[in-house]
Amino acid sequence: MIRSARMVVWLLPVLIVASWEVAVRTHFVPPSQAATPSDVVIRLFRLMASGPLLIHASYSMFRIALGVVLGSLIGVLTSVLVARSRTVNVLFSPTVQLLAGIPVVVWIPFWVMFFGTDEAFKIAMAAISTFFLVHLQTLQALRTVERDYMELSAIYEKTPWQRAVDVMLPSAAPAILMAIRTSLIFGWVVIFFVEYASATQGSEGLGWFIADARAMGRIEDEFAGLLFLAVIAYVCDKLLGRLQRRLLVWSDTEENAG
Amino acid sequence: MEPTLSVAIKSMRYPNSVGGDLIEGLSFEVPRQGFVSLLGPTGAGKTTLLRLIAGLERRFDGEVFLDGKLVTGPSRAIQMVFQDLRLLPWKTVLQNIEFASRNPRDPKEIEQVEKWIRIVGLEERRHAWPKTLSGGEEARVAFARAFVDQPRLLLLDEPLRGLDIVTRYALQDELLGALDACKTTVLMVSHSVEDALFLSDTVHIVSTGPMKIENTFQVNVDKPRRRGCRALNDVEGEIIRYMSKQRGS
Repeated sequence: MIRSARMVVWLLPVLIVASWEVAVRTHFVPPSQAATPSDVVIRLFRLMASGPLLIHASYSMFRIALGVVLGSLIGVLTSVLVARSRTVNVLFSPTVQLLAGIPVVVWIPFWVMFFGTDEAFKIAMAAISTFFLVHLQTLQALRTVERDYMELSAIYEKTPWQRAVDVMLPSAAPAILMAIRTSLIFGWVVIFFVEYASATQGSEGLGWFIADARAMGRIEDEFAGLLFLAVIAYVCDKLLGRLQRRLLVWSDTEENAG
Repeated sequence: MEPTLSVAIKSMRYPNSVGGDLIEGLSFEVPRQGFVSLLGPTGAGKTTLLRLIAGLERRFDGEVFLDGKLVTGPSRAIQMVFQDLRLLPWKTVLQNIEFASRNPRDPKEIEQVEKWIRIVGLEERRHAWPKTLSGGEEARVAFARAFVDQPRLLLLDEPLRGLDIVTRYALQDELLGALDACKTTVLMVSHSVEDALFLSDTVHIVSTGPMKIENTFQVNVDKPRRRGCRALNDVEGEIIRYMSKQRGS
């Protein structure tokens, strides 16, 4: 029963790939617009073996990792300050809430103004998309830290720093980790878009590789790049899921985290 | 004996409550190193009274003095074992007990934490997460955390509630042993006659709406006590007869 259920799970993906293969081979889709999955996989392995794809992927991964780390750190830090101080809350929260609703692409001209179009710009784009998500999710979690735990901290005369580190942040950890994980997924979209859109200014990154392949009519390379991007994004999400389960081993809901 | 705790509450009600005062004209004292219990039905306001004494609730008309000093807010001097125990789920048994330390790296405080882990018999479970503990183990961690900083007053809010009879007896004995080692003053609220009698020197019977002390029973039996001894049975009989009469009237 379980075995047949597992096989059913693969039915739809296999059907999609097979339809794709047939559609290209029968010229239902023009070969100038698409490559067959089998050709894409073969090309992907060749590109990996020869090196360029891995180099481009390492550029993208570096940008997204630094962007997500920076955005998360600033997001968590500012949410703690907002949660702990009414003054900071009044100064900060209305503006952040206003800006959080704006699509991330609107930041492009502003970031170009500050950082130019090089590495710093791309990292800042990943950071800003991470920041809003992590800041708002963490703030929400910090505001709902159980009054019970705060009372316990008051009885033991914990300092504001001890309360933040010992009680508030661990209590909000499930929400913070979930926000970072979501940011990483969204970060891939942002990095791909930025590298793709600024292809004329750069010459590295998976987004650039895919844009360049499309512009030069290397359809197999374009699809191989997209497939590789999807695989990396999936593996990163799974690794973060593992880390999340490990860090939340104390939680009752840790088995649901992955 | 000079009282450690002196409570005098003129009135207390929640801001949006529809009924009258929850507590009105309640006053009592707990002598140094004494164990006093307030015995009454659920909903009488016993937990609120403990929160008020701990300095966690300030919306009341009255005064609470500990060692002659007015209690103005929560402090280490008054520890509380809450009904829900309030273990921090992200800390292990050891870390939960260490939470009570002023400086967990201080050798003296480390020694103190180790001493209480031994007293409550959780050496083997020191690295366990709260979610893996039994009800009795959770209560033991909460006791150790409350005792480790040697409070001047310990407030117990039905700490043995929901435990099976064997665990309950074991914890009663352990609590008396811990009190012997710590020599602190205790105020417990409970609706269990058995817990109150076995542990206390004085038992106040309280009533609801508004909460007030209806009667007081002295338990003049030396500690450690033996369950089922005649002197305890006599007081238990008196209390149960009194409470039945009150319920009937």
